[in-house]
Amino acid sequence: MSGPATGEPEHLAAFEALAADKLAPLAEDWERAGAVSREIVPLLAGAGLLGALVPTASGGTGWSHRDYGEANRVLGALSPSAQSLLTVHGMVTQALARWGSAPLRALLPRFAGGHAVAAFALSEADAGSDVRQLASTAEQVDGGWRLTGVKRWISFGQLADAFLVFARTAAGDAAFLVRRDDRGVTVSPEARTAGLRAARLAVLELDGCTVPGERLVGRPGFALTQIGGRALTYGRLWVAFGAVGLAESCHRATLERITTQSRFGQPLKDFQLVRGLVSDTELAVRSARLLARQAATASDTASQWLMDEVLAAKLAASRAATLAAGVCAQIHGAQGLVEDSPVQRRLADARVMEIIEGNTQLVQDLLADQTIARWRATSRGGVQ
Amino acid sequence: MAVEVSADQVRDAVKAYLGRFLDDMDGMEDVDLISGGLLDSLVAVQLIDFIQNRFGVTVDDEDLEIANFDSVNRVVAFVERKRGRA
Ligand SMILES: Cc1cc2nc3c(=O)[nH]c(=O)nc-3n(C[C@H](O)[C@H](O)[C@H](O)COP(=O)(O)OP(=O)(O)OC[C@H]3O[C@@H](n4cnc5c(N)ncnc54)[C@H](O)[C@@H]3O)c2cc1C
Repeated sequence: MSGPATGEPEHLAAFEALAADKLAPLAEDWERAGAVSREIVPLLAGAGLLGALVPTASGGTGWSHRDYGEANRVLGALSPSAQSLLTVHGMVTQALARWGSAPLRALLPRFAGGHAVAAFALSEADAGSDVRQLASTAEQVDGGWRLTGVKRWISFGQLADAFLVFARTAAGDAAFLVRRDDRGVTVSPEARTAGLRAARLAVLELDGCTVPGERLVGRPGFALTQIGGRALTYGRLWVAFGAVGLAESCHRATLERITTQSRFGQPLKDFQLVRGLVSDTELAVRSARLLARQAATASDTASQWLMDEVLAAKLAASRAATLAAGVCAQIHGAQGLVEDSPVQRRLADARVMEIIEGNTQLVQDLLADQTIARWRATSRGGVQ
Repeated sequence: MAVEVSADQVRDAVKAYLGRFLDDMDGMEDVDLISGGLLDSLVAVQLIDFIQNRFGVTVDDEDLEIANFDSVNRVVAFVERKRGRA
């Protein structure tokens, strides 16, 4: 089905209208207050976004990754904190749809309908980029597993009803779905971060929390790769789109400012050095948007170069956000330094994009592997 | 899509694929790649995608055993088993 003029799908056009009419004013409140409120959940669910990565046969809305990406971009321009809900809820629901046991997959309609929010609990105090340092454990007990450990920096953990938790077992790394109301679970607010400050981060403490066997997702020994590694690949794609949205909003604020303010007797837009900043930012934002869309299409078409495309998009988009937020702050002078101003918030949000879902240096390292692999595949005429 | 291929063709295709990421695949048929730490975790994910797309088999959650994927020859045996030939 097509939208009126652009050939855009109707569900996406409807979300864009919702974003402009309803979410934009709410997002301003959330960002100012430093907390996205629960009212976002039924709004996103009503638009079909909380089940977008779940096939319709499993109770989801089954959006293409290209459309889901665009929705992340649109929301990222309004509130990167709110957009991160789509990242984590999307990662977890998609992982459950792919690898969950039948009882876990039976929960998917609840997640899709916004009756439950899912969060991703991988990081610990000493296991961020280096997830091999995971210290949380899961011990097999009669009929299930007993989990112990402390998970940090969980986006939307304060609102979440369920957590995809990664822990060590005697048989290797494993993933479990833990419910907020399971015995032995304590959720408390995390230290407030400067960027994504409205993303309701939480600390999850598991104190001998016992869950039934059906809560195991996948098989021990594969959680960090097939469950977590795959989820992070998609997480990087949603972060890339969110970062493009953030970069676009910074760039628009820059353009607004330079076309309305004059200094030294001429509009800011006519200074040659300012024009250089504008065109460099335009180039970064535009190429990041193209790379993000290309990566989403690679995912929709099950391209063998998905990882490569996603890593390139994440790197380009997070850097575009850093550049665009920096230029925006520079162009705003003292105004851009006011604490809690949108300009400052975007600057702090852009910083986060270069840390989460793989920090910039780690992504560079991984992208180099893919670049060499792609070169080998073509230069050796290897398998296609 | 699934195409009829022999075990030797599967072996050659897996070796060629892994050769994108590892410097030398000669004589590596029985080397433990995952438990031996030779494959980065993202490459292990890509290997499963490759097996599914190239040989038309589905990797289910009960197939997630290191024994199925750790070496070239184990992958060949897995594909053969999934295709009902072994
Ligand atoms: C706002 C926010 C939301 C988050 N949400 C979640 C969430 O929902 N779920 C979750 O599990 N986690 C979440 N995190 C945690 C996030 O995933 C980690 O912060 C991230 O993985 C980095 O880990 P770290 O902070 O321990 O940094 P470290 O691992 O200590 O890395 C610090 C720096 O060291 C350098 N470095 C690290 N590794 C390499 C490398 N391989 N090569 C070169 N340099 C390197 C980089 O410069 C890196 O930035 C969130 C974090 C933030 C800030």
